[in-house]
Amino acid sequence: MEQTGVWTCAAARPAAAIKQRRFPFPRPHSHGAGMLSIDQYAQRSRLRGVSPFVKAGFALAVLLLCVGADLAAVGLAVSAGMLLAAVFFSGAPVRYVLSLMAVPVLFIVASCLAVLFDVTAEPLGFFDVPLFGFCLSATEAGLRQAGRLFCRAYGAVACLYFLSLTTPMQELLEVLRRLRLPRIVIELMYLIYRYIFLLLDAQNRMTVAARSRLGYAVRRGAWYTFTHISGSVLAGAFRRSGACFDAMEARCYDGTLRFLTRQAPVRRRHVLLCCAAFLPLAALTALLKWKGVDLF
Amino acid sequence: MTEETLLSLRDVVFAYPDAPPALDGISLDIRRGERIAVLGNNGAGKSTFFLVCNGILRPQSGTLFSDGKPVDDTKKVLAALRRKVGIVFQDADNQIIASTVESEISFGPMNLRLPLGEVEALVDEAVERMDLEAYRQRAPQYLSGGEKKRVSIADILAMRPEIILFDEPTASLDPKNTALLERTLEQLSALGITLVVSTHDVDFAYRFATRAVVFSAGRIVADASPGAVFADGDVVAAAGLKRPLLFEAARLVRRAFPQIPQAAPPRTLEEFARMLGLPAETDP
Repeated sequence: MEQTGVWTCAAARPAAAIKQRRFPFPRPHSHGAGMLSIDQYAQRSRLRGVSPFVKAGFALAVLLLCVGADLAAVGLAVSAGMLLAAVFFSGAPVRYVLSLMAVPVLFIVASCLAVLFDVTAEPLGFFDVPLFGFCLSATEAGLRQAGRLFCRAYGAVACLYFLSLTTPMQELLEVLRRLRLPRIVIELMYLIYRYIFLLLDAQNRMTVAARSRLGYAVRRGAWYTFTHISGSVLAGAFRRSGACFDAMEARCYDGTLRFLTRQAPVRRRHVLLCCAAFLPLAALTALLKWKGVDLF
Repeated sequence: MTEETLLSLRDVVFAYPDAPPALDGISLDIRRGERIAVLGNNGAGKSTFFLVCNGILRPQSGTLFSDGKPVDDTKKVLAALRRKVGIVFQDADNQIIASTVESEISFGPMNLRLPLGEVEALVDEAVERMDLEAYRQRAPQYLSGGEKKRVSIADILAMRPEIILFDEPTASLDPKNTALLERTLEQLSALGITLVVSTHDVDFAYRFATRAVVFSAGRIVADASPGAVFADGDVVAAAGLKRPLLFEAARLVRRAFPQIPQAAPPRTLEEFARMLGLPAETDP
């Protein structure tokens, strides 16, 4: 009886038949409800068939425009556009992307406050805090500048989220490799990326086991459990590294990581679409600069 | 009939630092087309034996011969040995290093410094054989246990080995995947690949292997057909083995019904049914 399972070792198809196959990317699919990680959305994004060079180039171009323009309107337009694109192409729920956007808020607000306030000899602004004979004044100019900074920073963050939600790590590494980043850096990134998941998995299993024995029931116990789990993960990583090295050597590893990587080709259609998205933004920037207007 | 000897070990001794020898004078010939089950308790030396066969560990005394020639430390000889003898490790996660299935399978052929076209052809063939076409661009961290095992086998197939050593391949597989693995092993054997499988599953070993090698405390305590090994009470006791269920059942049936004609012990349920004079069972 022939089983319908997927394991097999059938005779290989003739090479000619293999050559004609289409570029096989996993279809976007979901495994029920629940939040996935950024990595999972990137792995199954709708843009897996688009060359990572196009995606990275587009994200970088928009980022440079947003930062270089120094206009609040452009910053907001980029934030909104890139977030919508990230939601649409990654298939991640809006709520998830918004929660990601909340992560850098604290940092951005902190730096905006630093820009907002000036140290002056006497109160000058609309809001002043006396301080040891000096004054921290929030001026209108400072407020405008802080507002612009906030929008710019958010636009830049949105560009990076777009890239990381649509481009999996292996594609980004390929881009960096072609850009001639030192080999040692690329190899380390490969291994770190791979082992993050193994170590996380080990940590997860130990945490569940600890929880089932009430390891986190009281705060002091929780610290104890946490440090012990961390120690075990480290020890486990050392043990595992030996086994991994043996397995690599068994396949003739000689000090250089070599992989065959197949990337989606750069297609004219994709480049044109990127241009179509970029040009209105560039036009908006030029127009605002020419008229010398902004939101604030 | 003498089959060609692919790999032989002569008086191989290996000890890890501060430990009794893991291999204590092992001599063994592996011949083309054999299906060898390596049995023995944990710590009996099975995994160390595999690492020696692949040249990862060097014997501290004794010699490893590949095609009759002693294996030395030169890069060329070692690379040839590792291409010829592949290991599918117990934990696929320790073996998989790349971030897509396709890159992962290409690691071995790439390390052999083959031209890119040839690497692609080898990867395509391995992908085809393990039916991984739909997984080519998947990241290994999101594969299931059975899928990872398939990738780790494709890893080795892509190097076109003559011998594949499987280190406890069924250890973390569910029954369905174990059955599928067994079918894959049958097919690999039919392709002419020599298989050496370490396992604790005596029923599987009995069914599958043409030869059983039993390790105990770093020594080979038995090396014969599975039927002969399991019939030998001393070996079974010394190595802490269990007898296959079918083997025991056939023995009991023979004791109860001495009129049943003597024949080779049954290795499958069908053979058992035939021995009892029943028509073969068909699955509902």
